[in-house]
Amino acid sequence: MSSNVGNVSDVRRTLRSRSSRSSAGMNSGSSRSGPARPVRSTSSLFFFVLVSATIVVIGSTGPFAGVRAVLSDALSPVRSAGSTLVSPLSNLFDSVGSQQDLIDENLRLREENIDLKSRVALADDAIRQRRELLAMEKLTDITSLPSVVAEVVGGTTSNFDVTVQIDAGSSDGIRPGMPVVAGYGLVGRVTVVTRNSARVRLFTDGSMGVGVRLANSGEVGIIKGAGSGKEMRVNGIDPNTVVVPGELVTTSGLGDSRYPNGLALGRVVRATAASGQLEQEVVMMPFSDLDRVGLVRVLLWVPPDLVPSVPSTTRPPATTLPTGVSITLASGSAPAAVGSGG
Amino acid sequence: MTGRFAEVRAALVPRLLALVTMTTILHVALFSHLRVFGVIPETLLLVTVLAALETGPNIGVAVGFAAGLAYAVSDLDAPLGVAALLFVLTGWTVGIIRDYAFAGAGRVPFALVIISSVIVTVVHGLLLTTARGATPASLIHVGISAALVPILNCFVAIVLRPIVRVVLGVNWNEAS
Repeated sequence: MSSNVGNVSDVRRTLRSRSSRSSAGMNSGSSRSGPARPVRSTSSLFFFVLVSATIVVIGSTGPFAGVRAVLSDALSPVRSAGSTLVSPLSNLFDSVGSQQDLIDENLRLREENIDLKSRVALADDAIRQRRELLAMEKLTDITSLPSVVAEVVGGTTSNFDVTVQIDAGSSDGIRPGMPVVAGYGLVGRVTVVTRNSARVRLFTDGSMGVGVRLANSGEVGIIKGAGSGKEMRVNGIDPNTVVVPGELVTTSGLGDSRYPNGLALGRVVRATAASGQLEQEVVMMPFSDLDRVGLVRVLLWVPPDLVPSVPSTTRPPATTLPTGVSITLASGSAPAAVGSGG
Repeated sequence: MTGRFAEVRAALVPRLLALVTMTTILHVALFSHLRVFGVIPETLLLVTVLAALETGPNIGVAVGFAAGLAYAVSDLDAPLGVAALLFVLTGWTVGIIRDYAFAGAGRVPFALVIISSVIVTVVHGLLLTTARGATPASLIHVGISAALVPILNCFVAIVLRPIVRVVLGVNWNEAS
């Protein structure tokens, strides 16, 4: 590579000699002596700043977005291979540090398993009744939603967002805004989709807000992301509501919520009702370390406000995406993107 | 001279592309998994700083531009062009400082890596979190990132600096 052309020192010498000449022409007398002033670098700076600023302005809608999506798809195998190679090492570090934690968790899970087996029998009948009620009210039953199974092929490559990348994209029917779950627990929401991959913003991201319902009391509130693996505050809970630690927190699905109702988020860790306050302080912990989820399901369900308008007098219930209907959130080519909230 | 300049510049473009491509692959496949308290090294920022340190502002801005675009490719959620703009300014500033203030000083590159990492991480983090709706938690994370990224970048620089020199064809005796 370096045999027949000059190295960078040559470039520097060349640029400097040009700088001297430019400088002499533009600013006579000022650069005849001493080191050559980098006039050339200023012009290249202006050029690249101008191009960058142009991309900032038109980037999300212009042709760059399509090129970006294609290149990102090309990086997917690299991301996946890296994850496969590095994860055993990171898992090794984790296991060394948390041996006792694993033993404790194992004991706790055994006890929980016994309790859950007894509840399953009761739950089967309740599920049947719930399905009938949901059907009567034309509400969404999350257990019957069509979905696409995808593998998490990588985490975020940035310090400023909490996302994961999955190996399914628009070719699998995935669209921005669709909720992503592991089991029936919420993981996050699809934000950007390319042909063969999609980026999922975890609900623990600082920019995400989710409408929630406390399972026992039915009280609704809102949680805001606080970062991966951190406790989250449930806002808007009435101070007179009885909230017990361990209570299940699910999505509320109210109004134009971005999620169907009934997706589990976590459990209440503590609730403190101080006198004179308009709401009590309820803190929940997400179910699992969402950064380490391996397989997820993308629910082929689009939030009501993202469903293409249908000329009808009745609004469709929280909706599964009909076959053949596509949603365009951003003009131009992929990737389409959706904002956060809700 | 113009012919020679065009020849050198044409030869440099593939080198810059090779450097940024290689760094992007390293970042996506390896360095983005080295997470310490939720923070990863900013490898693409680092390659900009190292290129500017090794070669000066002209190549610094070009590498910064390419690295910024590569950042947007590796992170589809990032606004397109913001990192490029920031890294271009970083490459130019570091290159100018290197040319006029610290040419030939042995430990200065690491000082510049640390200082530039702190400043760019704070500015970039504030821009991105503000665009997405800043919360106290996200602002705290920006602070944590600003504290840890420089340290991580210094470790990664040990690996990346020789690569930058080889790919850009820096004369080792002259550069060190």
